[in-house]
Amino acid sequence: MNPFRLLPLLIIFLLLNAVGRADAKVPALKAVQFQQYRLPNGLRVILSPDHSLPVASVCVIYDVGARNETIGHTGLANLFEHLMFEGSAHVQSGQHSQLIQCAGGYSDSMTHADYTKYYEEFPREQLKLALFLEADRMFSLRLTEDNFSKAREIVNAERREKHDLNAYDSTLVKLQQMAFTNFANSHSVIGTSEDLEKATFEDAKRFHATYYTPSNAVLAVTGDFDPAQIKTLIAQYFASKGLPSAPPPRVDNAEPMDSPIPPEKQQAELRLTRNALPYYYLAFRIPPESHPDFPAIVILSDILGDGNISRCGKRLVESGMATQENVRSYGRRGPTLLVFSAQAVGRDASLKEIAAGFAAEIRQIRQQPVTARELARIRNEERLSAVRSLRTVFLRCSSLATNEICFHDPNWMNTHPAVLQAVTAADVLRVARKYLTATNCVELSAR
Amino acid sequence: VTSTVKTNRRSRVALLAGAVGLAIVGGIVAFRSSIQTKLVDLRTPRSSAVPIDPQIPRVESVSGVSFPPVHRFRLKNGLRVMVLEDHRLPRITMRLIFPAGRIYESVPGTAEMTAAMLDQGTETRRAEQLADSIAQLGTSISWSSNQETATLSVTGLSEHTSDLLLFLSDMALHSRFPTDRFELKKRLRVANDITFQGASSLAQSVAVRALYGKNPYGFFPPTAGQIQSLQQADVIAFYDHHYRPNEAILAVAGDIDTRSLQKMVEGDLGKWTPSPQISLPSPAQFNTEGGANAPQVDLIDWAYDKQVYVSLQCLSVSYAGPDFFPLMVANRILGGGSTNRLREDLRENRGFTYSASSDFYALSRYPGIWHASATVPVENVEMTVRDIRTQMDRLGREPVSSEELMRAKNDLIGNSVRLLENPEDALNIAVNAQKAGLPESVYENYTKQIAAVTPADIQRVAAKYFQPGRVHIVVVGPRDKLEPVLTPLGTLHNFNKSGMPMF
Repeated sequence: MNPFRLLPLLIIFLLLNAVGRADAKVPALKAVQFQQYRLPNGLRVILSPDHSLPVASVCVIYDVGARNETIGHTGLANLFEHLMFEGSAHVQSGQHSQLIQCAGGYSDSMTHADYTKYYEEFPREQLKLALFLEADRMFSLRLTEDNFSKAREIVNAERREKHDLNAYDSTLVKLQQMAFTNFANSHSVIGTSEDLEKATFEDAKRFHATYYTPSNAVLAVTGDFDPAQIKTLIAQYFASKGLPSAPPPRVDNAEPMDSPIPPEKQQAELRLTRNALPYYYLAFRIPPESHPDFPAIVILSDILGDGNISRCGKRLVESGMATQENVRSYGRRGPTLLVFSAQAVGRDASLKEIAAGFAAEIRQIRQQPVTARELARIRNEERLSAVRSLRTVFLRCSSLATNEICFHDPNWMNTHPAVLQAVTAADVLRVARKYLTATNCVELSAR
Repeated sequence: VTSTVKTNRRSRVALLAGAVGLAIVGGIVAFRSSIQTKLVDLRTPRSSAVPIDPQIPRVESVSGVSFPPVHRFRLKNGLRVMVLEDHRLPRITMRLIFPAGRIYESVPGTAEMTAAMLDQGTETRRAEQLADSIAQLGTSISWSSNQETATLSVTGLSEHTSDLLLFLSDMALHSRFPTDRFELKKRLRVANDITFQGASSLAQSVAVRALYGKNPYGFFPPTAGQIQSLQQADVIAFYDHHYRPNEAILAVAGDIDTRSLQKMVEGDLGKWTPSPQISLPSPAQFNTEGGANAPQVDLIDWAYDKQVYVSLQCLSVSYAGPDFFPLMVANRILGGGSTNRLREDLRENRGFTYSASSDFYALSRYPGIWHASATVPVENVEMTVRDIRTQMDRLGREPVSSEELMRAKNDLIGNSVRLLENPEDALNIAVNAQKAGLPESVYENYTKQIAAVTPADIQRVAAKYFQPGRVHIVVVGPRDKLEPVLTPLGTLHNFNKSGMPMF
């Protein structure tokens, strides 16, 4: 054997060691296996059997969220999330959750800016029940004036009980409104109470006909089941309506990302309704999660602000200047924000020091590449995070369906971890210089 | 009190969760031994324009899973090690649990601050080095402290097990409590003290003190002033005495082989020296019945919202007694899960509130606390108290129907099957049983014991625990409006919005 044939390998080995162990081969996670198909009515189906525990999960996501709402009509997506529990042909109001619960499972739902998600997790024996319940409300929702008013009341109660109690609740929307010009990117999921008050039953019916169709939805099933049996059941429950309906209007969420944010919109103050510690926010516009720059932005925000060990954590929290800090990139289908935030120590504390602290770290990360050690740490963090995201049938089910909705690629959950691992110091430097600029940010002081 | 060094992970903007919360009742595990519950039938006859299938599929009975074995060994120095192997994913969770909770402290705040200082430097690693080395593995070690125990906890990739164990051991055996870090921690803790505290936790802290009376379980979380006056020497003495292997437990769940773990543990924690004096306080030191014999009303004057927080609170059970499982099922029927009697009454029938529920916790050897609560407008406070009271009495007076019982059990048993998805949660049940001095079979037979609860058991525990003299009414809302409403209900005690008594 020619010893020189090993030379390239040896060089690679040395190179890998030179840049730190993080680049050495790490064991890849076992990919989540799945199959996908489409029913004649357009419903996309994803199946991922796994027999390690006798549990299963069903997730239905409708491709509609707050982003689809227009001016004067906010809160409809969230209102529908509640309407979906108000009964269907065979199911009474509130009975959906009752049935799932007394079958030993749980069900829940959430409205996101980008989609609306319904899900159940349960002992495997109950799969038939869960599928039936999702199908029943997909095809025969009881859309009545009464139910509409009831859902509206529940949303109001929800606003009172959850949102009005959280002092910092409105800050993210405020930042979005400052940074973005497009309404699709800059209103709250729960909507305004004024919009909700004037929403009519006709609006609701139109919304339902447009978005709550099988061809605008994804059904995912994971866990302990036999795929052949489940396919038959899905055909029986979900294939009952003929052809795909017309696709809903495309969301135009374009932003003039290349134009500077007007200076008059770059700074604001927010009075907190509750007696809470002052909070400082600095937000930069960044592209959608599907953009090739996004993985490097994630690593950038981790290095800057994930935990007290991060750069901003050390500068602000470890020094006693802030009680907590965070730097976080919100993954969205449209233009979104990278948000720096920190809470002051003491009610009367100034936010100036915190602002200066963040500014110093931003200057630094725009000048020098991040270190190999920092990258190694974040890569381990991301690997652990990927492992954790696989731990329940529900988490796997939800990821498969969400990734189909957001990226048209359920397999994203299997490929994305490697993409994050491949981000280099040069990538991070490039996105830092590109996005962390003075004309691309907005600043909010809340006290 | 819990602190995690690592803060939020990046994630999608999840602004709204749905109508039904995910409520997992802590510590339940099911059995394959096929609890043959009857089928639950909640079908509603209804004609429809869009028939999919003539009827809702019947709810099948939940059969559960066989319980994964917990491997146990004990080091010469007394440390107990409990291992639940789960090789599905390359991760591991380790918890080191010390008998170092609030009940053992003589200076208020000592237990919490000792736990908080564990990551602030050891004999060979400064705080920054320690945090940095652990973070390099992509994780962090968090501490927590409650009435009974202090815990160090870490979840990481299983390839890092030996390193993580090394750091845990270093913190447990060689913490150094440097002055500058101690002062910084105190300052941050005091600053955090004024952050928003919800009505329910405020009510609970007042209830804890009222119900436990003068025994150590009634110790209030320390005030800012108490933290400020805490001395470094107090913390060091507490550490020397209570962070010892004798009564400590190392609980490990995940992708690990018990034999190789044993070698690592013997290497790192074998050198830990036991303390001869350490022992749990004996039950004789506790007056667990508290002081109240007549209904007592605790009013916390805080108009935190347009609504008023109403709760009824009483001492519950310990894991060790015979009433733990009956109370678990009784509570589920009264106010647990998303469908229960309180919700049915206060939400569906009265339309008072979106949130009516009850819950309880148990402690190792002493009673925990049970409470029912609802958030309602001022004008509905009196009716709400009466309604909750009526439902509590009814549970002691009438046997529950077999169907209601079955649904409750199905739910509790179903939760336990799902619990196995996170092996550290399943292991927690075994740890709680161990702490309570219960035999292994209690852990093994966990769901059998849920399934065995009868209507008579439920009546018995409801009558026993919900006696009027045992139950405190704790209300958070505006004093001027509530005083006239609450005075007829019992002896009124006023508290300010920091939970301090007002005279």
